[in-house]
Amino acid sequence: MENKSKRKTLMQVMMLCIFLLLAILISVSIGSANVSPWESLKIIIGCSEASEVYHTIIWKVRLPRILLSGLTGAGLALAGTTFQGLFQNPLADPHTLGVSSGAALGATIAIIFGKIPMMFPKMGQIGLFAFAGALLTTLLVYHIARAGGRVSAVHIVLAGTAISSMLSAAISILMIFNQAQVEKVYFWTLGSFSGASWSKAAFLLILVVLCGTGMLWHSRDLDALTVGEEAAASLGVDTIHTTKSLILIASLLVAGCVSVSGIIGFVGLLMPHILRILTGASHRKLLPFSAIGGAVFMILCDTCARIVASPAEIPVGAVTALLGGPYFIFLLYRNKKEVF
Amino acid sequence: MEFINIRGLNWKPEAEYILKNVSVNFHEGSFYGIIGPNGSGKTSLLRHMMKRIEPERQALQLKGQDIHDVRQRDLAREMSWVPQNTSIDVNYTAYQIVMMGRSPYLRPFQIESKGDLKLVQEAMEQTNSWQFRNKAFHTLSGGEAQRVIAARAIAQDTPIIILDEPVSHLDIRHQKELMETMRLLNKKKGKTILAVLHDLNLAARYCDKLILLDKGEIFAQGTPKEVLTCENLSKVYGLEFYCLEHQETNGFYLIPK
Repeated sequence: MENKSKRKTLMQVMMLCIFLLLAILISVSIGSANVSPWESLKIIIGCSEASEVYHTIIWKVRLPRILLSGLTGAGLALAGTTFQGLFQNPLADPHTLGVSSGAALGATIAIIFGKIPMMFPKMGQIGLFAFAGALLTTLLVYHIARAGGRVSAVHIVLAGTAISSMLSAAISILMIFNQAQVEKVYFWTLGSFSGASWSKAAFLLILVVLCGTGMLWHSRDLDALTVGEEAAASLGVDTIHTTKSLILIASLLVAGCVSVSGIIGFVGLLMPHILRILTGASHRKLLPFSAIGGAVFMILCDTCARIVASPAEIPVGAVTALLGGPYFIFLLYRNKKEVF
Repeated sequence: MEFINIRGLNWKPEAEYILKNVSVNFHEGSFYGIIGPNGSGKTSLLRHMMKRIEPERQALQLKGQDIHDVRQRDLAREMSWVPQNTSIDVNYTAYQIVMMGRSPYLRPFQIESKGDLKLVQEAMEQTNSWQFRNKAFHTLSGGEAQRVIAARAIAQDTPIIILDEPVSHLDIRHQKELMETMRLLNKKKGKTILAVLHDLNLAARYCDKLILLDKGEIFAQGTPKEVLTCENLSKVYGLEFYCLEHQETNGFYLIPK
């Protein structure tokens, strides 16, 4: 039995990796400049005689963007998996703790008051403010939830929702008084990878690897916590410490993702659900699988965002919701009893 | 040897005492039953032992060590826990649930050893749950689920097993089977069993020692014969009982009048 299940896991991993490579190849060869998949592959491995322009398009424009979108998808899916396990709540997603509203407020402030002298370039400044906003909000929510003694899942979700509404209200007010920037803020909140660069991708890669390792480190604790806090304690999990560190790790990751891409919904909610059906709920398997799944999904969504209304771009957050929503509802119908 | 030593334990989360001056020793290798009416503090006492509620300093000692100083992970190697009823909505197989019993011994990234697999299989065979190891836990019936949770506690391989009303949701056959399994573990492997029970007849039949709680205080403790007297019971439960001797099982049975 054990051998059989090992082989099955291996097969699933290979399948997902093939999907990932396919998604990358499709995405890299689709766009306003026409490069065939075969030609792009040759450019990537460096044995093509294609013109310099194509090299630039593939290496400077498309690849960093694909990498960035893939990493964001992976990061959001990892965070979603962790939050769902931690709060024993199938509805928890990376934005439950108000992380995204915090990021949005940070970005809004950066966009509107962007004229403050800063040593960072404009785009980096928005990202930085978003990152700071996301982290500060998480800490605030966590401390509010802790006020009543120990942190409970319900308190965290409630505190997150309350803070989220307050911050959204603040954003609306800021927008009303700065109507010239409304469009920019609005598009930022819908998410986009159009500002992708290798340095952003490298930043996110480090974050995804570090936080992903941290989550895997706790995967057994997460398994126990999904069964219930009391059960987890009886299995030797230091629930308070583990909850705290996992919240911080996951929020850091979301903050990083949001700072490079804006707010992209649904991936963090959807991926754990789909992959849980495929692999079961054991986090040792679920976390890496969700990460790859999230990457594939996000790369495909971003490709759609680029080409559907070319040369204009539609916000990738809208694509994830439009594609992911119906599939999620389909899953709800099909597996009424096994949603979580 | 004294495993758990409780001295003058009080717990007063709000205006009223839930536990009041509770002193009791649990010795290695005995089968203990904790009985008492609803709200008498049975579960609260268990929760103190599990460190879910922090007791006052020096009030509760595990093997001579103040429970404050025992890490959660070390505690999980000393005692395992079978709750009243477990509902898990997550898609785990029964086998995965039982394997969780091994987590106090496994480090992060460590793969379960052959020894772990063997312990899990043995535990599931003992509770007659091995045949549905690959079934999703949430599809199991109440009785099956409870056997899986009991298997998890057995796989945890701790000297003490704590059961909180383990049989209240089981039919009479599964009640008996679970209690027999626990008695076997007690007699063969010398495990200390500590069970909160509502069924006084089960308590009388399986336990070596009983602790009768009433309004947060220990009303009586001792052998079932000493504790389950009509006088004690009528005071605690406010009910009169018939006490019947039964020749064949050499036991006695209580029926409320």
